[in-house]
Amino acid sequence: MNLNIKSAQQRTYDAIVIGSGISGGWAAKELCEKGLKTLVLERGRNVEHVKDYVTTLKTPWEFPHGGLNTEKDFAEDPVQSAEYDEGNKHFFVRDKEHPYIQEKPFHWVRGYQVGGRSLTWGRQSYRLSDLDFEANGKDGHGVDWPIRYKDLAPWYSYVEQFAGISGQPEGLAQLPDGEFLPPMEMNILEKHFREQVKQRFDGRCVTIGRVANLTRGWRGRTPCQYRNLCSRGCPYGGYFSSNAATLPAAAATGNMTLRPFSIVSEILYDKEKGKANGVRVIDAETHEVIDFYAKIVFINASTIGSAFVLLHSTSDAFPQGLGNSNDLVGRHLMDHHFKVGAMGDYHGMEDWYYEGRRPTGIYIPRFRNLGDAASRQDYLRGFGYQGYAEREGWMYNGLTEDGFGKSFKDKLLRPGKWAFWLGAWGETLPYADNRVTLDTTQKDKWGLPLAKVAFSIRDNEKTMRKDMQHSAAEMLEKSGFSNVSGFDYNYVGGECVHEMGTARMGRDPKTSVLNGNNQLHEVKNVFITDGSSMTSSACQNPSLTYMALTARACDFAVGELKKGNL
Amino acid sequence: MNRRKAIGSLFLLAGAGAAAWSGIRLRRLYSTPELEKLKAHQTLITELAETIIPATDTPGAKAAGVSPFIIRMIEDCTPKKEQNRFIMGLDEVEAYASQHYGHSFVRCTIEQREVIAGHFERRDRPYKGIAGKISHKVLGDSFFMIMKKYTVIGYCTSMEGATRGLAFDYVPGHYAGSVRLKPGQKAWATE
Repeated sequence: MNLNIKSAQQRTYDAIVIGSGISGGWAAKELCEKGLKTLVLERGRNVEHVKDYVTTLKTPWEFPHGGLNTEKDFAEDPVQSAEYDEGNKHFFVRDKEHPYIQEKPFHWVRGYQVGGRSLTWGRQSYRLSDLDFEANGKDGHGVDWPIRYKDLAPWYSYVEQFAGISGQPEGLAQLPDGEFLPPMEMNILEKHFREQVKQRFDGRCVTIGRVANLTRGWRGRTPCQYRNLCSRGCPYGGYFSSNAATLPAAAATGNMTLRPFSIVSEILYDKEKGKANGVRVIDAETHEVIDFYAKIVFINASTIGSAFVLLHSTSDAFPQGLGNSNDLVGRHLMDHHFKVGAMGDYHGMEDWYYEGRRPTGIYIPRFRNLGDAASRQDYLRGFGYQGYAEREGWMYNGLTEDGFGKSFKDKLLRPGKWAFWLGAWGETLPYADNRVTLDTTQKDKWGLPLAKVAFSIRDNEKTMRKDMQHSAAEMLEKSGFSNVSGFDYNYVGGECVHEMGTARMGRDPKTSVLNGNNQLHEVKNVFITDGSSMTSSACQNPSLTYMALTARACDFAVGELKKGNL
Repeated sequence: MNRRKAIGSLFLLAGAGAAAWSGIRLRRLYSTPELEKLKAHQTLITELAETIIPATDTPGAKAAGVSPFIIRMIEDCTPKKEQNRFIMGLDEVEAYASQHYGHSFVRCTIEQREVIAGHFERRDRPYKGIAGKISHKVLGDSFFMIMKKYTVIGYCTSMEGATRGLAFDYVPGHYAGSVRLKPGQKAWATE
């Protein structure tokens, strides 16, 4: 008996963080630095910074298939293989081992390992603005965000100053400037495009991508070396990831216990106290079930994963899942719809080239529906563009040049024509029936029910896509590009890997899951600060917002803990 | 979705080639590919690759050791239909060489090899537009397109091809967005 008590004490911490990805890493850092003994649970394997980046220094000829996926990859990982390649496959799950149900086609892209998808993320880092925080309240889709830009602005600054975001201040209300490291440089054709767009399109700005890659040494991390191999893990720590930045900071406090192979099956709820008192873990390797206890719990298991944990935490008090009396957990799933835009060729500048492989492109902040002349009658909200100019390389030249032999070889190995690619990332409205539920019959190898995802875009997004394509083509055409062609590949939900919204923030416990401090309305010592907390999707790449929300919620949580409110 | 992925879909639309497909030839596409023939044809593959990317002042496909790569790509990265098209194509090259020159491709002169490759290159050029898309969906990539694609990828990702045929910068360490082309400037090996 004594042994059990001792054992329970050994399994008791001040705080538990579920997940070690981009937001879980931040929760770990903040809570540890504020003096809390923190247990970080990660369902996948450990990935040690540098040591476990096994492909990062490989040359192209060290890959047996030239970097391409095999037929077996496509057959066995129908979802993940659309995202991974031969260089980073080990940072994505095997679809067979981690099944889920697509009620409608939905790509659930996952990286079950310490660091999660912060290892492979796109690193684009943009602030939301009041245009975004006020949107739901103004047009009535979804519920109003319980916070405004002024609430989050200092926390954006706080996380940017730690993470290191390079970018160019532009003074735009709809895309607030951050605490930037020096911007990366545009190439000669991108500079030309920036000037053309500025002259010909009122209020449109072409800026360099704001990216979590270092343009100078930063907090013990080495600047980006312009290899553009980020998703293999960076041996220089040149980009922000949990592994390179937040987890080492958390570990340095001596307060962090990191436990890989720990699948959280549910949050333990103490009905008497009206609080969570811990979490139940299934050891992924041994299948052993272990309970851990803490005063506060941060759920950072990713948008679908966090909804899963809540839905699976059923009890007398919460028969539909923890904090889900209103049946809103899992609903309002959003993603950014994309794979639409235009490309074109440019004749001229044939004497010019570039050196180095820049890990970002250009960005065109949202210019639609700002409440001005560029507002549209046919759809709500808006989109931003990412893109870049480059001279076509061997892959393009080799497949488009007819013939063979010496003249073919010469064309293959020379810098090709200049081309520009512009792709749009669009806001998706929150729809109640875009949702995650748990299947009642099918289970995974740990005996947990499979998540079931139903998601589709609707008329607003489809109408927006026409403009996304048309406006891209129009900008290229008017900027002197030729052979401009629009594209709209078949977007499948989840492909953008920007899942959001399954436990939305709001003021009213009847219509939202979390309050303005990312606290479960119904269980105050449980916090969710990953993408699931997003009340609307905006059109900006969302990770920076998760980071800021996490740091802010940690500050609030520790304050409340000290006041004895939790 | 980035540009590289977009170019990937361009690969997929490379088209099927205009050769007539009917009866037994079409049915063979759906049979189990005789992959063991690849090793037997390795010399032919080597010489075909060298015809596509010959040695000049820089190494050619043979020096870059491309044929084991091509065989591996056919075995591991190619759908069944295209595996069959590729193997049938090799047989057809041999038949053509033997019919026109009385011996196998590898014993042909450079000029004869170019004539043969020219025949198959023209035969296998993709249909343009929607016809190409439909034909690609039914038949996959054509023999010569497959051969050319893997020769290009194999060469450009090989050490010889990347470092001597192209410009390879392992760790650039910096980025410069506007640089004057140097005389004889090669394209970057990696993007």
